[in-house]
Amino acid sequence: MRQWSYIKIMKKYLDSEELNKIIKQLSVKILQNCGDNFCLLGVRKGGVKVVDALAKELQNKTDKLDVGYIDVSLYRDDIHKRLPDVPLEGTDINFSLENKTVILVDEVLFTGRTIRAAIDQVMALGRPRLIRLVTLVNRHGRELPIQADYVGLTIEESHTNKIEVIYNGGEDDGIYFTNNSQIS
Amino acid sequence: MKWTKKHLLGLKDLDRNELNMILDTAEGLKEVSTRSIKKVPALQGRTVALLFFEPSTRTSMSFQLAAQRLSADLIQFNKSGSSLSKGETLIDTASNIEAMGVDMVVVRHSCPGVPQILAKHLNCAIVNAGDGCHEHPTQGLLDIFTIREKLGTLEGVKVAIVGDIRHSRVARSNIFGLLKLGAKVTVVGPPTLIPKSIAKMGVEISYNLDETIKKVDVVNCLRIQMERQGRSNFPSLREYALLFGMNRDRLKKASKNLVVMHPGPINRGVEMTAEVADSKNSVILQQVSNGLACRMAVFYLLNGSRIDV
Repeated sequence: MRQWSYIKIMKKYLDSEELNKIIKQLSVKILQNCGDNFCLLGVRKGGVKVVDALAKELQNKTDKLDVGYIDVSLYRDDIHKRLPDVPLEGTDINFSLENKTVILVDEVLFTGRTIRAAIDQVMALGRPRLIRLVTLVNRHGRELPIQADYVGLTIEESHTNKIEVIYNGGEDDGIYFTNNSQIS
Repeated sequence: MKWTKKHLLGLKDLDRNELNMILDTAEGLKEVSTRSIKKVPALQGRTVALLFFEPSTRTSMSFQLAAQRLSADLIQFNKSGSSLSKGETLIDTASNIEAMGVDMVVVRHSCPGVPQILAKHLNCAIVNAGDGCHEHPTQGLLDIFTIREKLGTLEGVKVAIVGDIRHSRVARSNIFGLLKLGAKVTVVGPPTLIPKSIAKMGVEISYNLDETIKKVDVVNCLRIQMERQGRSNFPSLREYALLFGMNRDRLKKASKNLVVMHPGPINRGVEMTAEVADSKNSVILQQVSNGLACRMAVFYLLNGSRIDV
């Protein structure tokens, strides 16, 4: 039987300089619109690096900045349809969400299903005054009526391609289109 | 890595990656029990049946709570008053329960191998909650999780398992799991309670707790299981306590950070004194809390494994 291998092809869409500019712009929008009683929640896994970058931008511009992380695995609508592929990383929020403006932060907004799960989890954890959504990349393909309030950039890209964000503070930082091509 | 095991029958069947995946998942799930609303919808619409053919308090309650925290529906079977007393076979009873649309069966039985038999005959996922002297995988997992949480690693950690090794399913599951994760295990107890063949599992044997206690990071004191002993394996409980019980003097001889464990229920004054059980070295109550997280992790992972791949 023939064994197929896959090669990951990555095409850079945006470099690190532009990425940093977008993060700065998003942080300004948050400061202008979200008052002073807000907290940031990064949606694991992709939203973690984005929320950390936003927190770095915002840390000297607000009196107190609460940052948490949520793992939506337990709230996903496909939990009975796919094998758990990574261990749960868990939700890590050590402050109250009551009456706060909760800003959900994700890397790529695509179908909207992850954010639906994230909203359900936030509501189970407390009663925030508002929930807002920040996404670095807004891509077409929504399956639920969910839209982001603050968008870094919008990309129209074929469903077969994945969008990957690398944001480690290195030279390779940027937004990439990735595609797994089959080779024999 | 994807979780692909359909059942949890014993830690012998799991490899190092699978063990770590359960422990890591349990770590992620521990937080759920600290919330004001301690419930997540992960197992909504799933049904878990608890089939306990042996008495149990903490394991049964822990499994119940784990299923409920994940929003599963729960049915419980009580041996007394069941159709088993009318002559129905174990497999017929289990098949009838499965026919009601059960997704997972948690089984405890005094006969080793019962979970394996059910796994062969039923389509649902089977979780072994203790089968005779064979294995008690979730107890093994929670013990290992507690050690990892306390010491940060299992690699090179020296663990003494003290007591009735011969009749202990907890010891066997601990040994399988700990060795795969890089810990070193010494079993300690009277020669009558340590089968010689246990050395083949890769553990050291000691008959002298006073010597062993100086060299280990963790001591896990097992309950003396009177119900599984056909004859007396030591002269008296008093003598057992004198030679193999954890007490203040032995605690003093050990490293000051010694982790003292017991799977419960404790016979205070036999396996350990009340002073040791309540000391700052004791993690017995943490073991109980961690048991809940580990059992939630098992349910969560096995739920995923019902998908055809």
